[in-house]
Amino acid sequence: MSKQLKTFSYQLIAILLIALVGFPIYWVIVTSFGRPRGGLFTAEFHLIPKDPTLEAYATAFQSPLLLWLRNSMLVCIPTILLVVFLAAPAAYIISRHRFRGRRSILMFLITVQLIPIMIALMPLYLIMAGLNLLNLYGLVLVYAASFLPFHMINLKLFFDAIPLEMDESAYLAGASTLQILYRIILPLAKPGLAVSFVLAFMGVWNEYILARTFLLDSSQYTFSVAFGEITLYWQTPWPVFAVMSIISSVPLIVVFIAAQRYLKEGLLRGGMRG
Amino acid sequence: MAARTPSSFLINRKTLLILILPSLTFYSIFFIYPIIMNVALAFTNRSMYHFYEYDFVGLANFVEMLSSADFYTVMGRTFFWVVCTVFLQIGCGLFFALFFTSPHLKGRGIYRGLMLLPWAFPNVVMILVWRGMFNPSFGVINVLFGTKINWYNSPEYAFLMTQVINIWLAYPFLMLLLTGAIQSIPTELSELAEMFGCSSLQKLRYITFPLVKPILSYGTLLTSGTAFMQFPVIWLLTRGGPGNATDIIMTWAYKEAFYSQRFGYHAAIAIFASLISLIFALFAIKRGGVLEGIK
Repeated sequence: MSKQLKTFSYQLIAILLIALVGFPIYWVIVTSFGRPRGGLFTAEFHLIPKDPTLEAYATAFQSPLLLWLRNSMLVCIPTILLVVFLAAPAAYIISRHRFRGRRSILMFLITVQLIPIMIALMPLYLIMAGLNLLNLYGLVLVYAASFLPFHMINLKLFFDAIPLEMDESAYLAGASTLQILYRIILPLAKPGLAVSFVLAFMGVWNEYILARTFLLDSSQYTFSVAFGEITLYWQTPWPVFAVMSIISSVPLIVVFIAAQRYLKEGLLRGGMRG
Repeated sequence: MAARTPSSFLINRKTLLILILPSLTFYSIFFIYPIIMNVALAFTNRSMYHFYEYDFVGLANFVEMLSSADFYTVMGRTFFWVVCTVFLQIGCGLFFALFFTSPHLKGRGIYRGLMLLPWAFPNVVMILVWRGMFNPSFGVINVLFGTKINWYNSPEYAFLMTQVINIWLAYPFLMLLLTGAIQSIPTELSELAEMFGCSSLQKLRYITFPLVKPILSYGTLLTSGTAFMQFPVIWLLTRGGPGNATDIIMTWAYKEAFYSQRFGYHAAIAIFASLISLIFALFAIKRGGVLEGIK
């Protein structure tokens, strides 16, 4: 095979593969320019939008879409803050000190990530119902708990890479342990915090089963729960749903692009649950 | 940080506990306590009808589970689901990673970025989008292929559909993971191999594969774990249907809890599933040396 032919065939295969995996995304975009009429069962598809219109965009913004996205954000931000706030001190201790039970804690933190959430789901539902927390606040607590082991390990691995001399000189200068952690270590572990931030964000943004179980009131739905419901029970026209899909993806895409360079490193360090 | 081990002169025992206990306590309240509660529930007949007055029934729930035909069908299907998922996802991830790092491909950085696109869209949203695309009466898949397949009414087609969607959702993660591993192979190695006249296939077999193997086995562990715990893909596409024909263990357990509302029986299934995960995880951690990597 000549060199040109080889280069050409590689390009061709690459473009075909991207067309193949990109098709659903293309479909969403094309559909979003369709006319929002006739409920779920009359969508047509044209490779190039025929008679494109922005009607679906107008309709989508009249729906509670922004409320659902706001709910998702209301869960997302506190969850991330709570997780990092809880995980950082413990991760720091595990990284810096050798104490009895340390290895068991590490082993425990890895193992629990492989236990399905299903085993805690129903008792959590009963507990949260008892505490009157079947709402966004309760969801924050449950998410934070289920994400915690991963982020403890993640932050620990980033702390490990910071030289111990940093701690020691700060200690000799009279800093307390908390001061060392917040003034010296955390600023140096920014890439680790970025990885935690993105993965927690993706975790909440993609989560379905807990949100579906814990949110009973439709005014509290996060967008993932709401989307599941509207495509099943409401007569939402596909173009409108396509618009909603695009809008709800924007925050994730922004976060994803902003942190892409940290992500690969974070993944190679090993992780399970968002 | 080479040979120095962290010392404990920086901290006293009290500070250590103050820093480490909040997270462990929080985790125990919202994760470990519910698990213990579930273990206790598995030995009772608590359900919607026996919500407040429930009795200790011993191993009855486990006996019922092990003697129900559903259990064996669902377990068999879950096993098949996991094997297919691992095989296809790892296969696609590895192929894409190899192809899009190939030196013959110009502009591979841009292509790689584009291939990762599915990851930037929320899972749930894309599952629902795929559901529209697979719709039997107007879905674009049937239109494009000129078929009239009812993807939701036949167990075989429904399974195929869920697998396709599951690959689409998961390959970017594996591709990214394996791309990192492939890129960390020193280029001198493959240049040397070329000098000795190795074919690309030989290079793949004797250089790339052995060096990527640790990451590959780690990826396999993660993929089997997530495949076993998969819920939203099946739930949002078929609800385990038609009938129970695409139920895997998680959707089956979920139905018992929130549809049949038999909490005790659900707990028994959930415990069984968790034990399988746990045994698999411990085995993989021991064999795969995951713990060595993080010391």
